[in-house]
Amino acid sequence: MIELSSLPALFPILLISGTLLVVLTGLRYSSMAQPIATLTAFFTALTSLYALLGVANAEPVRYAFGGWAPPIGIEFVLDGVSGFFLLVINSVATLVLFHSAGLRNQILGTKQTAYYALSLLLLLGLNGMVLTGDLFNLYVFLEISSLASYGLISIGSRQAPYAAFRYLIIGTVGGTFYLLGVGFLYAVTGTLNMADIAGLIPEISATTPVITALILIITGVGIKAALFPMYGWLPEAYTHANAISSALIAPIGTKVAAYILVRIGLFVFGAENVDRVIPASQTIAILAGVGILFGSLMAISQRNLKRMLAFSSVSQIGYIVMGIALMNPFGFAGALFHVLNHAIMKSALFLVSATIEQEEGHSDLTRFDDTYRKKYPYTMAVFTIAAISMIGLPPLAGFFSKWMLALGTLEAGSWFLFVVILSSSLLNAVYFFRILERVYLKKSGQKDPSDARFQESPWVMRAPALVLAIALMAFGFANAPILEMIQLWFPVQ
Amino acid sequence: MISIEWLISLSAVLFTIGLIGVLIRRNAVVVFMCIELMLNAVNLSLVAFSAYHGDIAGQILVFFSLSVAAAEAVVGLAIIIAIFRNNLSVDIGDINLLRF
Repeated sequence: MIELSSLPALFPILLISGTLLVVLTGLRYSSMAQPIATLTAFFTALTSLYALLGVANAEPVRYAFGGWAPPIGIEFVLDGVSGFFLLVINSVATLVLFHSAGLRNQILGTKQTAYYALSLLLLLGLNGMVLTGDLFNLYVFLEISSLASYGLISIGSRQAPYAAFRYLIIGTVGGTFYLLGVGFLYAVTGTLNMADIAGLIPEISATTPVITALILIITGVGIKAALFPMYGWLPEAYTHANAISSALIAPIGTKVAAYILVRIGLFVFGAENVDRVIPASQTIAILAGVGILFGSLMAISQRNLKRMLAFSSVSQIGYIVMGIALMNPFGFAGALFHVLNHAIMKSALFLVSATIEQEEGHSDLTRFDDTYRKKYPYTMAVFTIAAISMIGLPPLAGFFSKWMLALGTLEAGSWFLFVVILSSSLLNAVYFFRILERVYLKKSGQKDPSDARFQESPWVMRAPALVLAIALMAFGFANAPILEMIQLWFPVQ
Repeated sequence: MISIEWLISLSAVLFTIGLIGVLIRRNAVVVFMCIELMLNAVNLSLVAFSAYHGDIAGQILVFFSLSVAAAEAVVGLAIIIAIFRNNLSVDIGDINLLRF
């Protein structure tokens, strides 16, 4: 087997080689791009599973690149939290890339090589952000993943380049804020290594440059995570991108920004130092709470399925960020478990919306009726399971993360956030039951039964969606060991 | 020797000019140039901090950040060209880019 101590280096190597292979074979056989990309993502997911099993209850693994010890060189750190995020990102990406086999010819046409190379570069950036132990290196990976996603989003409808440009402007400003914050931390500490800075923070956390750095970093990462007032790029980007790009980016893109918040807020700064001078965590928690309600209300008022899912993402990101900002073990466990659940639910929902858009040629909610259930029974079953989990009904996985978050708000004594979680579940129910009602109960106007024949999507598209739906049920039943494992990772000060 | 306050102030002024430009200018290319201005203001502050510490690391960071900015410019300008092909205009107001 591979030695655990050199495992962190394997992730970027796998993905870079996969990208090069896609580009080189794509010169001649563009149809080979999808299988190669899927296999690369699959092997990366297997490696992350192996990594998570290795470090879940053990000391973090540190790997210094090129043999240069940390303050000079760059180190990758693999601990329980990063292993968890890696597994979520890579396995969801594998399923989405697998699913895209059924749509690639219609949607991508001749752009297949570019699409799959960019999607592997996106994964490279996300994996690197999760693994790196260096603040500046994190910025570089952040830009790699962002540049790849600008490219992925601009493949799409006629509106897609506008959405991509808007995302590029907002995203780059976010990246600049983050870099400026890192610059301030560097000015004070003279180092960029996260572990070194974490050691120095208790002494310097009350100084002006460090507070400025904290605010700048939170703003920059908040823009990338689409935290409430800075979510402007997200609905446009997810709506106008093509179906398979949004299915790839929506479940995993913003999660990694949440990971940076966890890493910097809880591990580098630590729960006490974040709030020493300014009420940073309360501010983030309240913004996230407002974002949860706002995203849900906007989702209710949408007619387009993809746009509704995009606003639902704004709301769900609110849950994750709120859990992090509560800064207690319950909130932390709820946030991380919600990262897993939301990645699965959102990818399942976007895969369903991709199927519907492909087969019906639209994603207008008002045109849904019970012929959809007859035509696509499996797809609609997946949609129902994901929707019910999103609302948070037991025994599906979505319930348990919301439960932990609710416990976290009680632990923090924040009644406002507790009410937000409960009422947002009701709002989720409004916008999902609206669709379920149409699909299962609304009789279609047409009498001709031949229109409602079984015409389910091919199995390459159905299988990943079913796997995701089954995973939601499985994680719902297996919630206790996962939550216990996550709570162990909460950093003890 | 110029003291670090001057360098930081210059960087802050450039950053603010860039940010205001991003918010108020309407031409996509100019918005893009303002973004580059913001990035370069940050680079300037990194170099200033590096000189202040007498440490070469900050200047190496600037090289990386310059190459990131170059990649950003390539992608951004490519998207602007795609927009121009569709619309024959790079006026943000015309294409309702920043509509809520």
